[in-house]
Amino acid sequence: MKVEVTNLMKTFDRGFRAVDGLSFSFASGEVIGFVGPNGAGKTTTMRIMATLDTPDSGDITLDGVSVLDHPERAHRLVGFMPDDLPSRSDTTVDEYLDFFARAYGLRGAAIRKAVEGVEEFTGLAEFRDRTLNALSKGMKQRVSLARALVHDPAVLIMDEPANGLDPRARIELRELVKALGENGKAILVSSHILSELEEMCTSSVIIERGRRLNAEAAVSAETWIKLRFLPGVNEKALPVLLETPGVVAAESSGNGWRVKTASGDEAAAALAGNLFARKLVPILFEPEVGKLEDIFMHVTKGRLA
Amino acid sequence: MKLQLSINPVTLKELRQLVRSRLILWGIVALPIVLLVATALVLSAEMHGLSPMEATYGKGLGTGPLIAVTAVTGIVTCGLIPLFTSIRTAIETSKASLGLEFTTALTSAQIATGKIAAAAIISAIAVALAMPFFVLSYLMRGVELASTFLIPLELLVASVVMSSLGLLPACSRRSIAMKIILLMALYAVLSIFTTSLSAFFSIRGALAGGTSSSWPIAGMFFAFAVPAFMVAYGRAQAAAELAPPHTDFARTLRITQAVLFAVGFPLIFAGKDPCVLWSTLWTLVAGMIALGAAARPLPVTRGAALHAPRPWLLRVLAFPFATGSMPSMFFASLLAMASSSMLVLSTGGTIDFDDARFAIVLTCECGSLVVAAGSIARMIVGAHPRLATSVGKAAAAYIFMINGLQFLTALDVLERTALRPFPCCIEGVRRVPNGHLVIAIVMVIAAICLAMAAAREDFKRFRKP
Repeated sequence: MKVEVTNLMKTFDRGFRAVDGLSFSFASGEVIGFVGPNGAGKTTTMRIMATLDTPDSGDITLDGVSVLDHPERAHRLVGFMPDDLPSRSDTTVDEYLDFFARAYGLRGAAIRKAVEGVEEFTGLAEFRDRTLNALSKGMKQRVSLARALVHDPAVLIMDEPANGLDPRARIELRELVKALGENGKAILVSSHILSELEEMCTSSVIIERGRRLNAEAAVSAETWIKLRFLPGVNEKALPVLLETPGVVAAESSGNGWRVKTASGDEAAAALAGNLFARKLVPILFEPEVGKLEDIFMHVTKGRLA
Repeated sequence: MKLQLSINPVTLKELRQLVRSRLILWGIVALPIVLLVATALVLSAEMHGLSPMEATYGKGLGTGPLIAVTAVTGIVTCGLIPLFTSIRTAIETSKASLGLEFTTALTSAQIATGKIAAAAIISAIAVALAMPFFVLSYLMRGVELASTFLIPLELLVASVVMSSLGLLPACSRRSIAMKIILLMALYAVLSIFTTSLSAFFSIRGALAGGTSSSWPIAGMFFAFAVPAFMVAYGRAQAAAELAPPHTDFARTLRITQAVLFAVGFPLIFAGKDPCVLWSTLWTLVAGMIALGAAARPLPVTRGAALHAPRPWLLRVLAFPFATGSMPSMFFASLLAMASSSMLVLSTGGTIDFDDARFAIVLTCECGSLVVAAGSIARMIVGAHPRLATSVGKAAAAYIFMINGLQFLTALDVLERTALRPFPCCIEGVRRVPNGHLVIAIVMVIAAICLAMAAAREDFKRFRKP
């Protein structure tokens, strides 16, 4: 399954342009982080993909089939998880999922099979008889995910899934998303928690004011590497770090150094080679987890549309 | 081949939720008690005023309980249940929780149908609870056997009609003012319902061999076809209101409009009193179309364009149905004017109908012209959509006023002479009956030309993408 967003444009009332010529693509097995400041056009793009909104121009295709011209096909291929959570006092988890299974056209035994399958996968089996409003936020998020998966879609769209979740629920959600990606689903997930995205996503799309920003340049230009040495070695390492080709800057960080390289992986390899040649063996050598945050801060200007 | 019974998922969901509603549960428990108390009170009052020796159909002790039971059941089935359905739907619409249903294989028409069906099932339960009291009335010679079953059936039909029309304001994502206006449209239902009920009693009288029906075919039409039309229209309009923007949300509505027109138009002349039939049909079809369209002009959607016919002439014919307020209201005015004109022709230019009723017909027609003018104005003043919306709202208000007068006249609240100040005075029509037709035709042609000229940009978009 290949999802292609092509030159998408959407303008709301009073000329507010939410999406401005946005193009990107992703395929089965990929988990794409969809990043941007508030008002960047993420939710609008996702709603168009889920057939809940329509663009002024441009298109979104699923294996070449337009979601605008054939929304009924898109419904079967796309699972949408919005940022608001289900909460009703008159509906249980099981009834909620049963309704959506039927609504997606499942019939007979397939309904129970699908409902029990997603309840099992999302860990909701023991909560199936609880009403929706009696669930915690994390559990509601799982119900929302289960609902999006009940018809086994090839594409999953998740709008701010980790919003408001506690650390444990976030980690559990992250593992679920990774598992779905490994199972071959094409996933587009937006979040403001960039470190979370970085851990679950295979790549990312950064947008601002409805336009895609070029993050590639930022990735290659600025890569931070975290280094730690045994006591006594730390001070000796600094001159070696600075003389290595491709290293732009180094700054102290606890018992080690944060090194900024200019040319990504090549500079990192050169740095490692240089350190080992001088017998300055680091006990920690890893790219910084906050890389996406750095890229995001580098390429976005924080402007609203 | 395995036969699978497929229940509308929305109906199932609604019923599951209603089971957990305390209001519904207590209502079901309380209804028989209320009916019992009402019957006992009325019966007690009657026993002090009537001797059993005088008892005949319609005058026996059971008449009072029949009226009481019909009233209580009617309030529940035609008032409370549709209102409850409407409010629940309005809450769902305002919370946008319906949005997720549109990411499924469900269509907006299925959603509307599911909600109407759930309301109908609850109404059927209420009617079933009232049945013993109707039977009691029969046993006490308050009503004949056929009516013991036909009255509850009529209540059930009316309940479904009310539920389907009650969905309209609830499904609408328009401003509160327009929702109130749409809600006011329900008064038309009362008008239709009373006409339908009188027609039903006319049939009942004919069946019982008592008072004969002067127009049994028309009576049958009113009693059953009109409610069926109203449900069909309410469902289609609600579906159009609910549908997400990527779909051709007006397609079902257009088809329903066309079917209503094709079926309803010949029936206008089936009865012996076409004036009454026409004015009712106007309120039913043209009024609803005009009001619905006036409230929200709709642009040519990608979905509508996708279904546009390729031949140019067919596209021209389909275009009025594919766009917003102008074509629908124009269609409504055409319906009104064509009906009225044919009415004049069918009488050979001699008007021998009840003056006041005919004045109502013509005044309605005048109102439809105002609506049409308002809708065309939108296209003419395309650069000023707010002005167009205001014109549309004013036109809708005017239509309400006219239909209000019609309703009040039907109730004899207004003196017949009260309609004289209105433009289409009966005296003028009497003098030059065919002049009215000529004026109508000229206005229609002029309106078509204006609309075509103003709509050319919209029409360019009405082709397959």
